[in-house]
Formats: sequence, structure tokens, C-alpha cells
Amino acid sequence: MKNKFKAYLEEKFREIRPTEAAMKFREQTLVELLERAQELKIKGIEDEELVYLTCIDELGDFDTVLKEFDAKQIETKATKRKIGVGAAIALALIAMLTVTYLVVGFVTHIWHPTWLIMVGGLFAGAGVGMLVASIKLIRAKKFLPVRAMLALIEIMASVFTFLLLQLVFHLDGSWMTFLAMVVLILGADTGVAFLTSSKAKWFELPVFVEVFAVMLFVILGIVTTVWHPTWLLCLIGVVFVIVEVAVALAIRHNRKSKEEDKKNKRFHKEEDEEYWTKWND
Amino acid sequence: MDKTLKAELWDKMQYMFRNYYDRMVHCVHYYDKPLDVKVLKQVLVWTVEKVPVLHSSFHGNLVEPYWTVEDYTIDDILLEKVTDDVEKDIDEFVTLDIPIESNVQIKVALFHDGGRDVLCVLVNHMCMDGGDLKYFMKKLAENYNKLLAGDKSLHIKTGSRSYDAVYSKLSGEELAHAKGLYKNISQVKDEHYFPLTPEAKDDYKMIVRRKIDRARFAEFRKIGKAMDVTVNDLMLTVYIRSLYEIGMYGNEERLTIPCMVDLRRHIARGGEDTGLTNHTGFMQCSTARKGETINDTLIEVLRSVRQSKKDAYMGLYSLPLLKLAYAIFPYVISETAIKIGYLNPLIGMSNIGILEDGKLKMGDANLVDGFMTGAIKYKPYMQLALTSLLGEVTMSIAIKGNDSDKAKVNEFFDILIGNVDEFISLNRHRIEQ
Repeated sequence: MKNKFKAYLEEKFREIRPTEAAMKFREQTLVELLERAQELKIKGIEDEELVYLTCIDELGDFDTVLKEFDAKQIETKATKRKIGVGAAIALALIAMLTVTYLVVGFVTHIWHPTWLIMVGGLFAGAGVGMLVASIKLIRAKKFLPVRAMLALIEIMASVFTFLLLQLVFHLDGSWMTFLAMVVLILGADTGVAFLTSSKAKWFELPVFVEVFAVMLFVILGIVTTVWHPTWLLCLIGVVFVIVEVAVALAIRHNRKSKEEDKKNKRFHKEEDEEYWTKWND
Repeated sequence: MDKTLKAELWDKMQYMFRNYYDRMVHCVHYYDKPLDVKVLKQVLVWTVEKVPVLHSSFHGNLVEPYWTVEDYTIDDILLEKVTDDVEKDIDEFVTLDIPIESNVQIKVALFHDGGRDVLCVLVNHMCMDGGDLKYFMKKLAENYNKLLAGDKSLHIKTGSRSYDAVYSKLSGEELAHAKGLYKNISQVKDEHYFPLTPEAKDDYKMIVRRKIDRARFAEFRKIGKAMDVTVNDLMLTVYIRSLYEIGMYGNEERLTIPCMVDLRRHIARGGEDTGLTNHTGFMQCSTARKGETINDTLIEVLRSVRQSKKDAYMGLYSLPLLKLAYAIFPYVISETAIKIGYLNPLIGMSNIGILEDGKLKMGDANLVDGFMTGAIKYKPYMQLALTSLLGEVTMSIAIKGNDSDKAKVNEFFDILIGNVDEFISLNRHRIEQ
């Protein structure tokens, strides 16, 4: 039984790279197979061949398991170490910011809004971390988390800008940072959609244009108290959608025509003597 | 000035266990001929001299406990008696206590029963565990035989009693890993009790025993071999199944019981170079359900035991935690802290293993029967101890209880033997082919 399992596993494992990790996995699988065989025998199956086949069957789609194992072979410990290093850097950053805040506080006796040092530092740290992670995710062509992280970075940047304008520069209307934030998030996301050839790009673009126009209208209205005829800005998005649809239809028509021409050219004009005798029966 | 000895980690732990059991390890050997008392006395004195902890008293100092080496005579150790009721005398002797203040931590009785002798040994568990008592008995016989033959080159191990000998085979990353095993493995909660009566004033100490006879055990073991299963796994199976039955636990209830593990497997040369001490850990055996047949119970046991067997660090968990507690706190606080974190198992099993009759022969007196067992447990705790000799297995349960508890333990043994028979009848065909 053991030799049969060994032969089976040796054959299967030839489909993946012969690494030490693969050897360990093969040995582990053999132990599991033998243990299962023992259980089946204890339960009462005495036919060795049946025990063997049942155990192999219970491995399931082993080819897929092996392929997945082969793909995953590299990391594990490296990942753990990276997490450890990341945690250490985060702790060091927090400690450094706390000390800086305390030093500034004790020296200047200003405890507010110097606490922004901590908030800004933490946001910056988190932002840098997410940017680094984004670069790696872009390389791995995993764009969805990249877009989520970009949005988070923009939210943190906006919140910090608002706090700075409000608490340090005491600017009226600093809350409008949040209106700009929405535009910023949508704009960046649309940019990423185009850069990564996302299917949603043609949907996102008019939404971005419309939101941008509305926010611009609101900000202009608040700052200048002029609401008319700036309200026309709100129609830009609608106009943009109509133009976009028209352009899209024109492009589609053009592409279809080219394809049809190509097909007709081959179908009606290309000559081959084989067509005299060829049957599709 | 009095000579003192350091109280090692396990000495302190076993002292703490006074709350759960009587801290004694027991051994009874039946010989078919009388022993030479003069030689035995000399060997005993020589051995006790070589192992000072055996003639020391323990001081539970609040900051750091210690042993004080004491003076003694052979009469403090050896009791010699001609008996007309050997079993009664054995029972009386093995249920004695050796107080920590005593000048000796070992008591030996030699009962002359007609033409045969029975040698009983009682040792404070703080000095050594079952593994080293087995070694001690072998050395006692070896040295006795040497002296009888005029050979004066006696030997007994006298190395370090420190707990950290368990790391002697490890180095580098493995050692660092083992020293980082802070996980508290006693924290596996299992609420299953062995059905003993409530604690009462008139409870008395007893060691209830039952044998699995040679023919039955031979067949049992042969079937196990055919199924590629160890005797320990088989005994664990019948034990667990019997517990489900006597305890009337639900068939689908998880039952977790710890099995004692001899940690000398981790020590260089199997602990031959250490001193006499404790090196016992435990592994948890957890069955998810009783199983329809005893073979199903066996599968449950195997699934659990395999996990432990695959773990290269089996039994080494919690040691760094204990070491830390004793290192950073004064003893009185560390004991309280450990007591809070330690859950003494309600039910356990200890397979002490084979008593090698060839190595335990004393002169021309052959070892014809005998057993070893651990401490006598206080309610509600209980443990099954197993030793095998000359193809027979002696099961023993040492408890402090009353006649009703004794009857319950005997009923349990009946169930256990019944399960051994059930296993044999269910699987006999595997060795008949």
C-alpha cells in the first residue's frame, strides 16, 4: 500500500517543480494517505485496492491542489517577516510622533493644535504604507484594492488639510475641502480606470465631469454669492454624456464597418482552387 | 551548617500538586524467593547516600523553597516484616504518606510471605517521577546483584535535577523555539468527572487494581500490531470508551484526557546522565465523539494522538511559562499565580510501560508479579496507571474515597475488560487470516 501511494505521489509531483518544499508536501501527503488507509481498514474495508482507490479519490482535484501549492511556494515566512517589520516601523513612527509632540508641548507649552503633528504623522505614515502596497498591487495587476487605497489616502489628506486650515489658519469655509475631496477621489479613480483600461472608465468619466461641475457651481456660489448663470455648469455633465454617447456610437459604427469590409473582401474576392471540390459534409 | 539543596522547578510543581494528590509514587514487586536483607540494606544506604534529595527534608520557604540534607538510619527507610496477610500489609504500606519534613523521602518495605518476598517502594513524587522510579528499581536490582556477586562497582545517576535537561538535545533555532513555548496546555477545559461520591471525612486512600491476563493481552496486542496501532493507543481507546460508558457522557460529547509523556525522549541519552527527578509532561487526547463501535473510538483516538506525535516539541509546552513564573516572583506568589492558571486534569492516563523482569531479578529471586502507580488522587481527580510485566497488564487507579468509590472503580474495570474483549471479538478475524 505504502509503495503504491509513493508511486502515485511521485508521478503527480513530477508536474510541479522539484523543490524541498514540494518534497515535504509529498511526504506529508503520504502520511495523510497512510493514516486514512489505516482508518478505512479499522472501519472494516479489507480490500486493499478499494482502500487505495478510496484514499486517492478523497484527495479530490489533486492536480489543482499541486498547481496552487506550486504557485504559493515562495513566500510564507517572508510574508510574516514583512508583517513584523511593518509593525515595528509603525510602532517606531507612533513613538517618534508622541515624543515629538511631547517635546514641542513641553518646550512651547502649546498643546493645541500641536497634536496635529501626531495626526499628520500617522496619516502620512499610513499613506506611505498604502502607496508602497499600491505599487506592489499594481505590479500584481490587482487594481481594485489600489483604487480603494488611493481613496483612503485622499480622504486622510483632505481631513488633515481641513484641520490645518481650520485650526491653524482659521480660514472660513475650510469645510469646502470636503467638497473638493469628492472631486479629487472621483478624478483620481477615473484616472486609474483609464490607466488600467478598466471597462468602467467610460461610465466614470461623465460622472466625474458632472460631480466636478456641480461642486464648482456650489463653491463659486458660496464664495462669490453668484448663482446665476453659473448653474449652467450643472448641465456640462449632461452635455458631456450626450457627446460621449455620440462619439462612442461613431467609433462603434466605424469599427463594425471595417470588420464587415474585411469579411466581405475575404468572402467574395479571395480565390482558392480548393473551393471547387471542398464539401462540408 | 546544614547542607542545603536547591528546590528545582519540578520539586516546586510537585509540591504545589499536594492540593490534588498525595505526592507519592508507588512500586510493588513480588519475588518468588526471599531477598538477602543484609545486601538490600547496604544497597539502599549506598543509593540514598548517592542521591542526597532522598534523605532531605523540604522547606516551603515563602521566597525560595529548598531541601536540607538530613541524617538518617536504614530503619528510617526499610521496614521488614513477616506477614500472614501480605495484601493487607501492602495496601497499608502503599497508602502511607512521607511528610515533606521527614528526614527521608523514600520508604521501602520488605514483606516475607512464606517462601516469597514482596518489595514495596514509596517515594516522594517531588524527588522523582515514574520514569526515574523505574530506573531506580532497575539500578537497585543491578547494584544488589553486583554486591551479591562481590562486585563493588555500584552505579546510579547523580547528574543535574534541573528541568532544562529537556533541552539538551536541542540547539540553535529549535532550542529558541522550544524555549518560547509559553502556551498553557493545561487550559483545556473538560468538565467530565469520573463518577465518585462527594468528598467525605471518612474517605481513605486506596490503590484499586485489576489485571488484563496474559492470553487476553497477547491477543489484544497482536490485533493492534496487525492494525498498525500501538498498545498505548489501544489502551487509550478502551479507557476512553469505558469512561463514556461509566460516566454516561453523551455519545456526541467531546472528551479530552491528558496522557502523561516521559520527557526523557527529549533528553540526551534518554536522561541517563541527569539526576533522579521529574521529567513528565502531558499530551492531550481529545475524542470528538464516542463512536458507534470501539473501532470508531479507536479512529477518534488515532486522529487526536497523531497530532501530538507529529509535534517534535510534544510535552515541552508551558515549561517556559512555569520557569518565568518561578523566576520573577517569590515562591509564594508564583505558586498562587500558577494555581490560578493551572487546571489539574479531572481524568488522566499514565502508561508507565514495561517492567523488565530480567533487569529486576534480584539474585536468584525472580520477579513474578508487580506494578507501579502514581500518586493517590483526591476527589474529584482520578488517573488510570498501566504497567506491564511478563505479558500481563496491571491497571491501577489510586484514589482517596470510600467503599462505594472502590465498587465504582471495580465496576469501571469490568467495563474496561469488557471493552478489551469487545475489541478482540470485533477484530479477531484480522489475525486469523
